[in-house]
Amino acid sequence: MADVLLFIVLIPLLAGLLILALPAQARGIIRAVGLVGALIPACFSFAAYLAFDKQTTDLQFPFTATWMSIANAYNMLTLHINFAFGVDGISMPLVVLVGVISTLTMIRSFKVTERVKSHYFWMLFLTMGLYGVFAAADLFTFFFFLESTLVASYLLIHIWGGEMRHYAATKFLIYRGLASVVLLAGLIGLAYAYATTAQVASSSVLIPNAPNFLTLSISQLLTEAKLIHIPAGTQNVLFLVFLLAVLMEEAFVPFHTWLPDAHEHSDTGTNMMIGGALMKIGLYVLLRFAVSLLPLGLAHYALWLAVFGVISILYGAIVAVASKDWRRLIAFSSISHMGLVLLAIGSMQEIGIQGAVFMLVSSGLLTALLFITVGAQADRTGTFKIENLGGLSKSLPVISGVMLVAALGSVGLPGLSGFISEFSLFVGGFAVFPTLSALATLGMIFAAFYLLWAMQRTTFGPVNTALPVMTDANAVEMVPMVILVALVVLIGVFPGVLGDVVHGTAQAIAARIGG
Amino acid sequence: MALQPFLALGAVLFGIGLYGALTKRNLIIVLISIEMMLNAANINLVAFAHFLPKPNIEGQVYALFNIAIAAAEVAVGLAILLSFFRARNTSDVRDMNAMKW
Amino acid sequence: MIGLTWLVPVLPLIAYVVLLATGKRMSEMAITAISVLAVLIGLIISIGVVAAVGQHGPYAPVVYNWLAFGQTTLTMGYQVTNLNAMMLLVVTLVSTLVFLFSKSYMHGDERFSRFYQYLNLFVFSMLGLVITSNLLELYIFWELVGVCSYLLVGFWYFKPEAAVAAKKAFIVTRIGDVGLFIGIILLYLGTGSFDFTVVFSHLHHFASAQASLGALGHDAITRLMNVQTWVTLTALLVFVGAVGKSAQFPLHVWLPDAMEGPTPVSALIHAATMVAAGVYLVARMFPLFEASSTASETVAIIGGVTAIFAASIGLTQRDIKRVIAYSTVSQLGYMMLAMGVGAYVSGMFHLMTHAFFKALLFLAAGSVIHALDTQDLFEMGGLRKYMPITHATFLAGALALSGIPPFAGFWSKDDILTATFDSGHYVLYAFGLIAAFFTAVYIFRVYFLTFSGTYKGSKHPHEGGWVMTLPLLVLGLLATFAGFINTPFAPILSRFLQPNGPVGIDPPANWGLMAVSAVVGLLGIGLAYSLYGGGKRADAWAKRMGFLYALSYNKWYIDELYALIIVLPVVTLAEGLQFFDRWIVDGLVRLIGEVGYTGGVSLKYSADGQIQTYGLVTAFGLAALALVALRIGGVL
Repeated sequence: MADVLLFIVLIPLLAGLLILALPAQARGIIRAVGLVGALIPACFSFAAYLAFDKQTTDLQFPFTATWMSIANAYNMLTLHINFAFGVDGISMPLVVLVGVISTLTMIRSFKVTERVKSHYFWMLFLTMGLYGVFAAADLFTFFFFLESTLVASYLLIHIWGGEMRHYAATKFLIYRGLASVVLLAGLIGLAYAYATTAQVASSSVLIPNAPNFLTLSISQLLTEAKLIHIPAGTQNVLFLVFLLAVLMEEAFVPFHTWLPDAHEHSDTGTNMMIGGALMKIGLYVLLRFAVSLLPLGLAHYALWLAVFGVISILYGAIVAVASKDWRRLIAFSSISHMGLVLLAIGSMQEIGIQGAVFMLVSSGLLTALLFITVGAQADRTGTFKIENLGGLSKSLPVISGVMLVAALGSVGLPGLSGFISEFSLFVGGFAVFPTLSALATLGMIFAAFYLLWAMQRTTFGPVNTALPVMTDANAVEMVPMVILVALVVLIGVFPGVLGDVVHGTAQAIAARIGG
Repeated sequence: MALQPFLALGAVLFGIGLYGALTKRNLIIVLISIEMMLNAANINLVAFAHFLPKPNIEGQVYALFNIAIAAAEVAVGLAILLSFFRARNTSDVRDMNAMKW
Repeated sequence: MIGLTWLVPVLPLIAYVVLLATGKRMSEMAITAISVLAVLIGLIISIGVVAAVGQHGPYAPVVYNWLAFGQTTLTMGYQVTNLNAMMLLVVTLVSTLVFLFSKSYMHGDERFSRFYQYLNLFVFSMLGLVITSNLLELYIFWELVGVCSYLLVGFWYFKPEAAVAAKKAFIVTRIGDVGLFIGIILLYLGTGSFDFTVVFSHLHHFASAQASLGALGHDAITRLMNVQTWVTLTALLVFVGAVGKSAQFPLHVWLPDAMEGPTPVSALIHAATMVAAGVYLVARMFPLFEASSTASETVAIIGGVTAIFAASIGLTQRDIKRVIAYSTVSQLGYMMLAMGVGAYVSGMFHLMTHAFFKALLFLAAGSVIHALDTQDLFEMGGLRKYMPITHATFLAGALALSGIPPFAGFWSKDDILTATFDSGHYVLYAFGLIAAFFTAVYIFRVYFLTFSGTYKGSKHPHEGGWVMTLPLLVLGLLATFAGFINTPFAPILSRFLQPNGPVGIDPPANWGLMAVSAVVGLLGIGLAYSLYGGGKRADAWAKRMGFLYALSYNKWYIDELYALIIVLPVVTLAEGLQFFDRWIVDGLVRLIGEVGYTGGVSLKYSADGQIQTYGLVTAFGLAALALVALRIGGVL
């Protein structure tokens, strides 16, 4: 059990390499290997989730292997570069989320017929990267896997996307690449700031045995964050760097234009992976590094976070009203939802942080569900354009029904996972920024408006006679839809299954930032 | 004798060679100009070797090296010139611009 | 029986799951049997619960932990009080009858099972809402009620009007829901709990001691506002939720359109489930409204205005269901008016009697529509001969609605009017009285146009089977006699609802006012008879009223107004922002890309392929560098 995270990260890679060794014609075997390669780590992640110790706030299931050491890297300190894994209450649910989304994507991707071999290889590679990002317990490990997700998702958009895929993929690559560069600067700055502060602290005997190395280990940083305090000025600068990276990474207004393009020109499987898991990285970075390690910086820029959050909520929601394409609509909807998380993090309340993790998981599931249903109807009708659809409830009752569940979940209907997420975030928001939060509630009304309006034009009304004769969902779509709906309902009705794991860590973070 | 006249000779020779290499249209003249620049370098090598506080012959050795290499270079250059001439029926360097943007 | 209370909402949920699992495989008979049985058992339990509560007073909540939430733990559970025992009874009773009625009405529909699934889910949500023990749980069921109404109003989704009406119902009530959502959060931030008991004890503490909120134990809110503002603000926000759900002005627009759904759904929405939730919410949160006079005045004014406003629209509508729908809006206005002036018992009394006679009117209308396949009043007439049971029961319902003694509506409406008068709200009393006059006119207009005169249609109308007439008869009896549970002679309900001393005001009977409202009702009927009696159309009268008629017929142009000042700006803003996003924000991004690209392209032409050019540039560059180096080095 101890090395479970290592296996979770490695198995998709090994499965991918196995696929490379297979002949391209053996599509059945390739698909099976792809599915198994995603399913096994998913099961492992479930097992880890069940075995997760809710009492401690340390990183669990730790694994560390030194990759290289550089002597005298900085101020006589040695730099160890490690491959290290470990999860706590905020990353554990996200690891499971990756497991769910990747497995279901593999099933959905049975429909892919073009270049199956490389499709599955890159899907598995992306899965590995996503696991690595969320399971990383070392800044270097984190960055390594972050970049591997970038490469994999770039190629997935570039090769299997729609008509403007090259444009969308390039935009995706440039934006996220830029975000990575800024983030790298932040990570390096973080390590240096801690090393410098620790040295000063050790000379005044605050820390009896200050490390004689420049640490990149997240668990070490988290431990030391309790003991030493980086000067406020440094924290502010570092926080700003992280904020900039997150705004680009998570597609917040005004750095958002790559996301609708990427979603609009990607295939359904890729959209599930991007919308379901990849788009959770930015806010995870914010929670993991900026919020946990730079409390003074957070306090300094809290209002900024809230303002950026509210802008994204309203901007995304309003543009979604005018979106003509389902995929763009979903993209703007998710921009709007993520804005709410930013607002709640800005409030620095424990409930807000707990709600943030809830929202990351919930919106991951719901976005994937929306994409799979929208993709399923587009496979049959040949269009994602809302105006060309109509009356689908008649011919595709199951797909339309699931689509309605996903839409209502996004609207925040109680009984589905979106509600408790949104509610927690708003409780956090109102405690500190009542006016901004009141503005943000307009987003709830807009969400009902654009989603139900789009639903009405897609599934209700008279049957559009221009559409071909269609058959309802097949097994390849049914399985992912049923599992996602079940999880959405499970979290909605028994939020404790998620909340119990998150609670302790959220409390620890809140204690650190004084919320 | 002083060092300076030799260096002056080398500099003048190099300047003439550089001017020829950069301005002449005919590839043969350009090659000859390059040879002049190499020889300017040879003169400097020999001169410096002679006027060192402890004179030695290493400069002359390098000069010989240079001559050999220059010969090889001229051979390659002439070979390119010949095949270019056969293909394009010209030896004007302005026509050798296939590797632009 | 108390221990079984949780079964009341759970039974319809089980029925829902069973129907969902079996789908189309079951016969219509079996589907109906399962559903009716589920609510019928609930009804029996509810009767037991009412009896137990009547004897022992309210019971303590039964709760289970749900989620660790910051420093607190959220719970889910149920609580039996006198108020929600009464609601349980009303909801299960009306639901049972509607479930029965639907069998015949929906007979042959290919989604028969789906219809009953939604109905069961709807009733489950409403019953859950009624017995919940905390505000968060209430909000959860509140939203579920909303989504069920969305599904049911849009049940015939292939009709564009139904699809639009369903969306409208959801979005308009959603606006109210957001108000309730914020109100609940502010209450939580002020009291640290969602539990009714905790919230009320804080409010009680506040009312008696004028303590600061900090002293109440939770200081998150004190940084933001003072205590009185907090109370008023939360009360108003909670009321916004009730306005949306109970279709009060200005969020009333969804309810008349919601009659695009099947008629039994309308009966359920208008009588027992959806719209009653708003009034119930205000009743449940009564201590909050008592703590803020601003808020309760607002409730009274909105209620009074809605009562007269909706009644004025009901006067001219041509669609039988639309008239009854506006009647509901108007009657809900009365209930809100009662809550606003503090007449807690009167409001709940009217909610109950209204549930009976409104369900009756809708089911009777459904019976008519079922027989005629039209909803246009001007295509009906003379049905008294063909449908005697429907006729008799509709008449009972109409008399009850008009407030003619001794029918049920008289006692409850009169209670409200008396309380309004006694509390000194004379303008609102006048509103209520005029609305009562309008009420009698419009409902008897419907009555005369439908049942008197001669039949104008071609189809041969006839009564439905016993599943249709039995609910009508039961409701007819209730509409006639239910008022007697709270007459001035024997105020049974009043005692039942106030086990721990008086809540709000409960004025003594005022015989003079009673006579006035009875006379007003009779006058209204008389006017309706003179205009429409014997199947007259009263077109000339309509023409003479000119502008007023148009105003009423077009519902005061509220829909058009909203389309102009809300929908149009939002859609325009969205299109504009979309343009801004695509061409300005993204345009800027692409511009940066273009600048880089163009720069590269223009510079590449300097690489002309001439080795001599390169050499020349290199030579001059080297010379320049050398010059600079020598300059810096101090040689030159």
